[in-house]
Amino acid sequence: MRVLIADDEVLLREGLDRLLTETGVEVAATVGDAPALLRRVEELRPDIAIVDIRMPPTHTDEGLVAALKIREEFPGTGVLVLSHYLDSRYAMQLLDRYPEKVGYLLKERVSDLSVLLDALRRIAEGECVVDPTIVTRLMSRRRRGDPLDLLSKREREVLSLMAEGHSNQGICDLLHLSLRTVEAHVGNIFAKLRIPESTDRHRRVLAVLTLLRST
Amino acid sequence: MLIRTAILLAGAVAGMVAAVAAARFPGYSPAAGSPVAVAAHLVAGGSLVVAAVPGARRRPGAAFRVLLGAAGVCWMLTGWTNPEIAVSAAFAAGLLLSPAVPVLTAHALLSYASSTRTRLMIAGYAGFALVAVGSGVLSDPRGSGCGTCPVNPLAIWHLPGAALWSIRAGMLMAAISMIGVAVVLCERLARASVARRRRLASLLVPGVAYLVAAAAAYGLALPAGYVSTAPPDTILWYAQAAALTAIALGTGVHWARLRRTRARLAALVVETAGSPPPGGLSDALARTLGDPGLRVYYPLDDGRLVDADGTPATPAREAAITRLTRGGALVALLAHRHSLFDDENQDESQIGALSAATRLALENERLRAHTRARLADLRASQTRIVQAGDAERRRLERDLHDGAQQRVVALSLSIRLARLRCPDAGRAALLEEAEAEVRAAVADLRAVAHGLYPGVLSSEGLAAAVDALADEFPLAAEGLSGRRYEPSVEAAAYLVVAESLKRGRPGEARLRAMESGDLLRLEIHLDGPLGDGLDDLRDRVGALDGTLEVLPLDGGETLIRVGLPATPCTPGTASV
Repeated sequence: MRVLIADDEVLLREGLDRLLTETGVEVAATVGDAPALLRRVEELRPDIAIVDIRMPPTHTDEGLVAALKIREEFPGTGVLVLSHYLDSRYAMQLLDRYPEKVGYLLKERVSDLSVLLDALRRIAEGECVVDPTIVTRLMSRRRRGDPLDLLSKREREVLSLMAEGHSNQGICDLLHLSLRTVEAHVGNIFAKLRIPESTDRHRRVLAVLTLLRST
Repeated sequence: MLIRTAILLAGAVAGMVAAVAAARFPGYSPAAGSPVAVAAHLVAGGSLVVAAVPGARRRPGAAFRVLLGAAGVCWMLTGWTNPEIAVSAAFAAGLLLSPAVPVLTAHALLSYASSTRTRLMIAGYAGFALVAVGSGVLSDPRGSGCGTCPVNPLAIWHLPGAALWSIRAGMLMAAISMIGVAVVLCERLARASVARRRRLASLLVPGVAYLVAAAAAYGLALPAGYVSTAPPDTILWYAQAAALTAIALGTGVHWARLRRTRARLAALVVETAGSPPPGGLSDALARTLGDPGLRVYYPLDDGRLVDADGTPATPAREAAITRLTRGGALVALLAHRHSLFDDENQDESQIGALSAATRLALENERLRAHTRARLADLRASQTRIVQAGDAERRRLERDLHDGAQQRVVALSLSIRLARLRCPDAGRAALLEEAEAEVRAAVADLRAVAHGLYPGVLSSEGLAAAVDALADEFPLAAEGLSGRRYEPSVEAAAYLVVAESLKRGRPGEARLRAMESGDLLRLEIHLDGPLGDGLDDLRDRVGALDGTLEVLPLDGGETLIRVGLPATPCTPGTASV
């Protein structure tokens, strides 16, 4: 897997570079701002671009804008946006337009190697990944007329893990359930959220989107 | 009143006698040459007497009026130097006093022009005295061959030679004095402001004409020692009669103008007595003075000008400015059209009368304007403090995100790397602990930064920020559009909602927003009591001219009501 790292903080950029290299991920390049990011992506066509949401000049959401552009112009490259914000709106903006091959993790997640690597792998496979903390907050949110209200507690747990980018196998490991049970839950979730028949991957993305949109 | 009656009475008697004398013996004096001459004689004298009467104590001054009235009476006495007058005392009075007309008129005109020329007047009165003595004391007309003339009881000596020289000297002195006064008056006119000149001219122009004619008449009469009844003397006499009539008319014009101004001021007093609402004084003055563009401005201690509402304002560049002062201190400025006071009443006393008429209302309005301006200043300063605080919060938030948080994340990476390379399981476990701590530190930093000033508030506005709050708290919000407001309004609204949720720790909270016109109203309904209250936020809301109410409801619930000015945000200020 070839990745490209975009972060204006040199320490972070290099630390992440070393960490990923150490764990066998090929870092094609590191850049410090959005224009350089877009240039290098066009040039190197990495599998995934890891993008800090805050970059010069305004340090607000330049990374998010660049991520949307990458997904639009280079469909072969997935994007993992690293965010400083717990706010689900940015994740929503990203996934709503390009629900596949994208991820949205909190910045500190970079040192949580298992989550980071898992996220990179899922994104490369075409799925979407949302940070567990954000998913937890979304799940706890009170809503009216929310389709998520139809889900049982267990089903909500499964949906959360799906949103975090876990596969069925991963979920059954985490919840200590059989694969069959997990598959049943997933099927129920799709049915209750009225997600039409399609490839499994696509349906999982739609389920996550339902979670995000219900905010 | 007494002076008035005396002048009127004297004028009536003098005129009547002169008319009777003229009717009985036409042809003796220029005034008796024809009915036209009689009419001119009586009209000139009578109008001077009448002009001296109205408002004798008012401007243009009692001295002027008494002198003018006296001149009018003396002018009529020239008709008494008539052989048919029969009464010798009247004849003598005519001889003695008729030469007083020019000097009295000159004196009156100088007084009107607020000028004193003592030497000129001494010369004038001395000239008059010499002429009077010459013709009334040193000569007896009967001795000079006037058989029908009554006896002149004053004729002590009959010295024709001395009388002629006395009269000549007197005429010369009087003529020089007249010319001198005429020059002084012309100078006065030339030096006066446009407005004042216009006002003075109605009297001084005929006055100068009269003085020149009188001086010329004396000049012509110098060789003979008396004024003849043939041209050119009669022409000059008619000219004097006409000029005197014109002076009297000028006095009337002046009086009419004063009357009109006083009537307007009276109307103003009535209007302002009821203490008009703010700005009402401007309107009342504008109506009274007939200038719709008239505005009143009040000076503040720091030199700024404000209108009646206390709003800083500057008079239009093209407006004329009149300063209203009291005790030397500036009370207000009137901005008005240039010709406003020029036409009728521009001089110091009129402005004084205006100040006096509007004094109470002006003082009232000035105090109100001051208070309002002070309030506006305080509010502005309060707003600046809040804004400075917000800017500082935003700066801290950014610094925490871009500085501290980034470094701590980088640190966690380093620890992670160290852990990867650490062969010793015990140390690796320690590093793992450190890593967990560091991650918690990042979360803490984020929470602090977010509490300072949520990034989403400045980038996306109130609705988005409140929506983000719903991630954290059990909040159901409705009614907020994506509309942007002034950053300080958004911050205040957000902080009230966020702090209500934090301090209320509600099981369930509802937020209802209503945007109506220029007001943003928020109602936060908590299903529990509010812990610490929201007093710290009250100042922030108050600085924006907003309101904040905390109402405990039945069953321990709490309703928080916020009203904020919904000033639409100007593009470019939102995403700071």
